[in-house]
Amino acid sequence: MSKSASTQIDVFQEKFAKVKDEVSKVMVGNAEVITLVVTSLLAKGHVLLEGIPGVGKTKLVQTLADVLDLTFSRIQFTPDLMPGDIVGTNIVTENESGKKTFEFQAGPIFANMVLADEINRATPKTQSALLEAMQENSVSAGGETRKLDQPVFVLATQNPIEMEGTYPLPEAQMDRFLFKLKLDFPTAAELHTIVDRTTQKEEPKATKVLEKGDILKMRDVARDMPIAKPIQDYAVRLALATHPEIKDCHELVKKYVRFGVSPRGIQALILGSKVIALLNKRNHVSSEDVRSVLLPSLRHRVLLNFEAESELVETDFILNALVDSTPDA
Amino acid sequence: MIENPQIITILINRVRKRLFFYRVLKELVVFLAVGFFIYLSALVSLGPSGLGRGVFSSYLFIVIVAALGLIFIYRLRYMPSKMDAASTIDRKARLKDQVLSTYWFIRKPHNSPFIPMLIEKTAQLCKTIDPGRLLSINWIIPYCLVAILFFAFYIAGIQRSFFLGDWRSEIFNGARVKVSLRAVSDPKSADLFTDVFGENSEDLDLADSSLFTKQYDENDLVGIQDEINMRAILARDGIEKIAKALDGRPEYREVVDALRTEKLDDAMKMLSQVVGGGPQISDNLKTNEGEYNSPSSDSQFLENIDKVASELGNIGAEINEEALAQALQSIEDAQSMIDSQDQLRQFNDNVGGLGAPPDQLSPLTAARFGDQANPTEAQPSAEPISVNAQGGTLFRQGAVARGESDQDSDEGHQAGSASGDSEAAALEGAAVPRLEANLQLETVRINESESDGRNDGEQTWFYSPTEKQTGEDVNFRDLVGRSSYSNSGVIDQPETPIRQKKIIRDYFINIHNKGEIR
Repeated sequence: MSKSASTQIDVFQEKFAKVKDEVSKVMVGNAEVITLVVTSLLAKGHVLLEGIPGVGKTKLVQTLADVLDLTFSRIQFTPDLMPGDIVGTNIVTENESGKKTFEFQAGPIFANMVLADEINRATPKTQSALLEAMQENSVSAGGETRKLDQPVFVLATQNPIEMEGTYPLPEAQMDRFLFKLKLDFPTAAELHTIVDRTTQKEEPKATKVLEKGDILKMRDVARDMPIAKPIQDYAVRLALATHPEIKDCHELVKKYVRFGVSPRGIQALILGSKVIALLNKRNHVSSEDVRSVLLPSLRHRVLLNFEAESELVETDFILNALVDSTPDA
Repeated sequence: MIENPQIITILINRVRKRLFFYRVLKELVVFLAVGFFIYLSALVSLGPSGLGRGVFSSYLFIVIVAALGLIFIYRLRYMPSKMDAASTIDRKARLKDQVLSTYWFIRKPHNSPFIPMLIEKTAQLCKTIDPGRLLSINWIIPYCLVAILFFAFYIAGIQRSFFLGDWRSEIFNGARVKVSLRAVSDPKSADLFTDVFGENSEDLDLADSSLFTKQYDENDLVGIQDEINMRAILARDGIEKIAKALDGRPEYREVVDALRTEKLDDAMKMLSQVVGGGPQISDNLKTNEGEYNSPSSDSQFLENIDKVASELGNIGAEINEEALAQALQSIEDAQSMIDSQDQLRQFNDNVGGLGAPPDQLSPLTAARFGDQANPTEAQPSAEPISVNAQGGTLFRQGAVARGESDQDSDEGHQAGSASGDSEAAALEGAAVPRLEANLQLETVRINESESDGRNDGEQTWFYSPTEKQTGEDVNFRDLVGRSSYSNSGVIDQPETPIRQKKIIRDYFINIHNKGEIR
C-alpha cells in the first residue's frame, strides 16, 4: 500500500512535470500560471485567466489542449453570442426516407477543454449558459440533459482594461471558477525569447504527453490526498476571515469587503492545496500549500464595496493582510 | 519493537514536557522581573513620603508577590497540548506540518492510501530529531542579560546614592533602629547615647546612618550630640572634682591619678578594694538609696558630685564607706556619660557624621571681626560643623550688638567683643547679656582651701563682672557652657584637628545668625 502510494505520488509528479515542461516549450514565462492552470485541471476546476491583450492567454489554453490530448473548442464571446451558440441547438434534419426530425447539434461546450475567450464581452444570458456546464458537467438543451464528456475544463479569459461594452461576470458565474489567474506582462528577457520563438519559420509546437485517462487518474489521486483537520481548520479560518459580518474581523475586511468567500472558496482552497502537496512530493497537505493557492482561489470570490473600488484596493492586498493576521495550524 | 506511531508520540510527549518546562521558566523569569520592577518602582515612588518604608514595604512586597503568583499559576494551569507540541516540532524543524498531520491521522484514522506512508516517513524522521536541539534554551539569554543589567543597576544603586537616595538602606538592609527622643527631653540614664540610639548603634555603618538623618530633623540630631558632649564635659568636671577632693589623701594617690587619666575602671576597682568589694558597693547603694540621689538630671548629677566632693575633701575627717560608695556611683555615672561620648564618636567615625545645621557658620573671619567698614551679614555655609570635638557644638549662643557696651562690665569689656576690648563693629543685633557673658567668660578657679587654709573642699568660682549678672541664673545649658569654657583646652586638645579648632573658634566669634538677632 505504501509503495503503491509512493508510486502514485511519483507518477503524479512526473506527469505533471511533463505537462509543464511541454507547455513551457511554447509559453514563455508565467510558470506559476501554467502550474496553477494544470492544478485547476487536476482539481476538477475551471480557470478564469485575466491579462492584457497579447500576453498569451489564448495561446496557453491552446497549448495545454495540445499537450493533454483533449478535445478542444474555442468560443469567442461577443455581445451577439447566444446561449445556443454555446450549448448547441436542435436543428431539423431529413433522413433518407424524407422524414424530418429534430437533431441536437452539440455546441462548443461539448469538448474536454473549452476556451471561453473574452467571456466578459457576451451578455450575462450567454455567460450563464456556461453555469450548468461548469458546475454540473452537463448541459440542458431542447428539454434534454446531456452529460459532458470528462474531463471538462473551461478556461475563460477576460481583458481587465477594455471595459467598455463588456458585461462583468456575475458573482454566481465567477464563483464557478476554481482559480482566477493573472498573467503578468513578460519581462525583457522573456520578450526576447518570445520574439525568438515566434518570428522564425517554424514555431515550436507542443506534443501530447498526457492521455485523457491519465488526467482522470491524477484527479483521483489528488482527491485521495489526506488533509489533517488543523490544516483544514486553517483554510476555513482564512475563508471566514474574509467575511465582514463576523465579529472581530480584520479592519480591512470591515472597511472594504462587501461579501466574503463562499463555501466553494474553501473547497477550492483545499482541492488546490492537495494538488500542490502532490506536486511537492508530499503525502500530506500543509499550511504552506493552503497559502500558495489562497490568492488564485479566493481573489475572485471576495466582493469589494464601492469604497474599495474608489480607493483602488484589490482583493489580493486584503487577502495578504489576512494571511499575516491569521495564525496557521 | 516500537511501532511508528509510538515513535512519533514519544517525541511529541518529550517536546511537550520541554515546552511546559520552558514556559514555567519563562513565566518565572518574567514573574521575578516584573515583580521586582513593580516593587522597586513602588518604593521609589512612595519612598520619600514614608509610604515605602517599614511595614508598608513588607505588605507591598507580599501583595505584589501574591498577585503575580496568582497570575503565574493561572498562566500555567494547562500544559501544552500534543497538537501544540507537534506543531512546534514542525515549526522548529521546518517540516511543513508533517508531524502535526501525522499525529492527527494517528489519532483519527483515515482511509487515504497516503497515510501509512506518511506515518512511516514521519516516524523515520522523528528518530533523528533531538528535542534538546530542537528546543534550545538560548531564548533565556536575553532575559538573563536583562536580569544582569538590572542587578548591576541595583548594586550600583546601593553603592552610590544616585538611585534610591539615602533611604535605600531601609529598603534593602531592613535595618530597624528605634530612636527615642524621649531620652533627650527627659534623660533618666547616664548613657544617653544608648537611650537615644539603642544598643550597639556605634557599630552601625554608613548605610544605616541615613535612618537617623531621615527620621529626625537635623537640628534634633545635633541637639542629641550636643547633649552627649555636654554631659561628657560635665562628667569630666565631676571626676576632676572628686580627684581634687581625694588629692589631699596620699593613700588615694593612685586613685587620683587614675581619675585624672580617665582610667575610671581602675579608679573604681581601687576604690572598691578600699571599701571591700564591688558587689558590696552595690548593696550599699541599694541600702542607702534614700541618701544617694540617682541622677535623674544633670543638675542632680552635679549636686551628687558636689556632695561627694565635699565629703571626700574634708581632710580632717575619715572617709566613710558610704561616701566612697557614693563616689563610686558618681564615677560610674560619669563613666557612662563619657562612654556615651565615646560611642557617639565611634558612631560618627563609622557613619561619617550625622546631620549638622549648615547655617551656624558665618563668613566672617576673625580677621574681619570688628571691621566697621565692611559689615557683613552672616551667610549660611555648607561647611558642616564638627561634632567630634569634646565641647561639641555647645549650646545656642546669642547675638552681640554692634558697639553696645556691656552695661554691667566694669572691666572695660564691650558687648560683642569676643576677646577683651575688641569691637563687634561688624556684627549686628541686640545684646543678650547672659549669652554675651558666656562669650566673655573668663573664669578663675580658686581652691580656697589651698589659698586661705580653709579645708571645706569647695571650689569658689569667680567671674568677671559681666558674668556675675548671670551667675545665679544658671540652667543646664549655661552650666555646660560654662564648664566647656572653663576648660580652656577645649580647642587646644592635641587630638582636635586644626580644621575643627578653626571651626570652633569661628563659631564662637561669628556666632550670629540673622534669625537669632533680637
